Amino acid sequence: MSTPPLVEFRAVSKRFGAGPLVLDGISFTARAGDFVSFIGPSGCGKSTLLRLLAGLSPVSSGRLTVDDLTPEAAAAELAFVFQEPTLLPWLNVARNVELPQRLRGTAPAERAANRQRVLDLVRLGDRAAAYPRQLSGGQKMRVSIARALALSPKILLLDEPFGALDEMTREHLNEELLAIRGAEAWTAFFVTHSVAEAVFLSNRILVMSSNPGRIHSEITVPLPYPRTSDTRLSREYLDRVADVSRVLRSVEGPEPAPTR
Amino acid sequence: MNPLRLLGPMLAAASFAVAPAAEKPLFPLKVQLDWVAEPEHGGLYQALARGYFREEGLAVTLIPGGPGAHVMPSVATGQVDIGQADDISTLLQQAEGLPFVQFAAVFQDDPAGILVHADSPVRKFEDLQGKTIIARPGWPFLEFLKKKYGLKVNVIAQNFSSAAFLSNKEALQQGYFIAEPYHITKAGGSMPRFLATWDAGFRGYAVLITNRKFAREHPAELRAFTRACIRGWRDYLEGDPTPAHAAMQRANPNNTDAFMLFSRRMITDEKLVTGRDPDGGPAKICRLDPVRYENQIALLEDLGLLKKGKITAAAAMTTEFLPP
Amino acid sequence: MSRPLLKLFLPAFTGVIVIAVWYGVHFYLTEEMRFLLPSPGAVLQALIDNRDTLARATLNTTEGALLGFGLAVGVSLVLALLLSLSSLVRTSLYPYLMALQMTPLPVLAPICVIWVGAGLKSVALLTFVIAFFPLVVNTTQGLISADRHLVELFRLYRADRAQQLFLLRLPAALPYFFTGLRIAATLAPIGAVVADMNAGSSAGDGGGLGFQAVIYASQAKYPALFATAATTCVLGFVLNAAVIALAWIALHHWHDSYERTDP
Repeated sequence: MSTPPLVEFRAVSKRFGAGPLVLDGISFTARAGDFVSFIGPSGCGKSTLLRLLAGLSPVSSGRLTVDDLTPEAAAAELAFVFQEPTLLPWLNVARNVELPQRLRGTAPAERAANRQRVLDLVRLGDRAAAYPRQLSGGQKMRVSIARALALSPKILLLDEPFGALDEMTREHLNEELLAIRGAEAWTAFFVTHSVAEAVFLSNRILVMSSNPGRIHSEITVPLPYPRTSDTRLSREYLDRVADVSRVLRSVEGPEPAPTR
Repeated sequence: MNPLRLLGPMLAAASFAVAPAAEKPLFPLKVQLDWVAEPEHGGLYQALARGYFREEGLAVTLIPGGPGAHVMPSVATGQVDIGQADDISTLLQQAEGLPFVQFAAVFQDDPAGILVHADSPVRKFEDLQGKTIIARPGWPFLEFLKKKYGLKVNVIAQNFSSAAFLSNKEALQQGYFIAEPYHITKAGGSMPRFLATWDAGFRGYAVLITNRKFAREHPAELRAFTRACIRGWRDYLEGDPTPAHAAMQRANPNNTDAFMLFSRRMITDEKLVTGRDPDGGPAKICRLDPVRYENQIALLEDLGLLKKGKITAAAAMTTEFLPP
Repeated sequence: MSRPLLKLFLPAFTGVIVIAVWYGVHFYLTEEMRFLLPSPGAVLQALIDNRDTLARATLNTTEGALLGFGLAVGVSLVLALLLSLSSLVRTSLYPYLMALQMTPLPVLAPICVIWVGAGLKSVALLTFVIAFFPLVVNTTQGLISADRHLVELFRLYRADRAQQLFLLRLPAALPYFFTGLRIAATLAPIGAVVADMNAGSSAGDGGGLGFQAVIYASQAKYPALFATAATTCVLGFVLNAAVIALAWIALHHWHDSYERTDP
């Protein structure tokens, strides 16, 4: 069954001021329910691409639509999770999670209900009164995700959210993210450096090349959802990881010469 | 070593070579003045300009003061040898243990007083009740007035400018009778009236003070200084004041001839140096009277400004350095 | 000895040594010169003898200091908001703020006297002048230093300027504000005393500590002068402590600087 496109990039290019092209002729379509990962060498513009989607930056040429609207107009349907948890240190967990709702003017009762719901989703329901400095890195990230989910967005944008965490925490959070997605059903755009992570989470992986940033190729990951820790041990998963790694290496170009 | 640093000693040595071999070197003496160079220091500047100090074997340096002049601490610590001050303030400090000795008079009556606008209703001291006075906080004369006339007055810190007086018709300000009136009229105001210390029965001197150590160790120099000082004042008041005025103008370019002549005239008119009392005259120049000191101390003790027995006239002043 | 006890004992012990040395120096001086350094006992005696005058003077100075300090806080907040708007505004205004800060108080004092009259008004105004510059500079810095990511977060959720100011910039500026407040609290008593010396008035019920200091100095009542100095110090300590307490209340639950760390 085909679903209508949710996000459409049509020959989108981006340059900052009079600088060089950061993104060149990006074209692809995403449908509701997709989990799209962007992976590529440093400087390929994947974070910029996400920011264009978020409406934080305008496109230089081409057309970008979200649900048939411009990203700015579609703001209510989008949520962003940054690389840093970006919690307000002077607010406790509950208030941090409520922040987007406060900014949109949601009624207090509804705010509290949403807050409880998402905190339970990330399994931090009992830490609502804690302050960010009392939390670990992983916990802060979970609060950040909860905050993003509080307004029930249609589209979730994540920019290397787990990059600063250790391997074990990262894997656990990957699994949690998919579990939440099972309950909430948003479409995700995920930027990462980790092939394993991209393969585990996504159904589509877009590999990008740099200078300027272009989409090099797309690799689908037909592994069924729900995916669990067992999935990481399966043959198909490991094969996919190998495939993507190979493509990534070819995109990165020849190894730099060793220094004397 | 910087060769310029040798210049001083070289010149000093050269001056020795040039001067007659029999002459003793001049004794260096530092005098701290209580204000900028003005005719209140006329006798000293005249003595300096006419060479009276040199004839007595002294090399005197007159150090002008100003609003922040620290005569008392400088003399007490020996940074300078002699200072000019008023005797009552000095008495109060001597009572606190500061090692001064008052050894010669400058003025037989203290010309500090209260400046009053010409058309002010304040005519006598009793009229000061409830008024605001711009003065140095702690001014002994004001404390004396408060006690004597039972006054309650407000004091605003003095900053020694005429601006505050001129800008307020009701202003009352501490001033030096021989100076401020001129500045005020020069700035466009009408000649102010003056409530003088002697009108309130407050017979203070303006004096020269030194510290006890110097008095112990250099009595001959102090006598020489006093002799030259008396000559200087006599010549300044009776003779041609130009040498002193030229020196004062060099020290303070703000001194105009008109001002200095005005000030000197006030000094002679009010007989400040020679004395208002019937026995006044040239013989009184620089003289101190122990009886006046005893009366003054008794008065201050009665008014509660001085603790009884803290200071005696004998301890505070001396006439041993005045000519017999 | 436990740590909190040590924190009390060490300064007290140093204090005893200081007083012993003080007595030593005092008696080392010849009797004639002892006025240079009154003994601790004499200072204490002067404090007791003059307690009424000093108490009144302290009240007066505190009144002026708090007024000027309060005015400084209010004006600096407004000014900081203005300055945080753009770097052009900052470039235009900073030199003049600095010029005001660098003019010495004794020079400004007579001007204040002819503008607003001597006494409390001048003391408050001059205290304001000395206290507001650190407040403005630090608060402005705080307002423009909000985390870039947080600013983006607010943009993402289409926060309007008022929301940005009250929910992001002002709370983020709070630690900086308290730094400025701490500095201002140290300067305010100094400013009030210097102002009082130069523009004080004995109207009402006597001048402040600065005014009193001038009187004691002119009468060479040095023990009382030392006592006045000590009183000024205590005033400074109290004001500082109040600010530290305020900062603790506002910040301790979330700011990194209050995290308990091992020595």
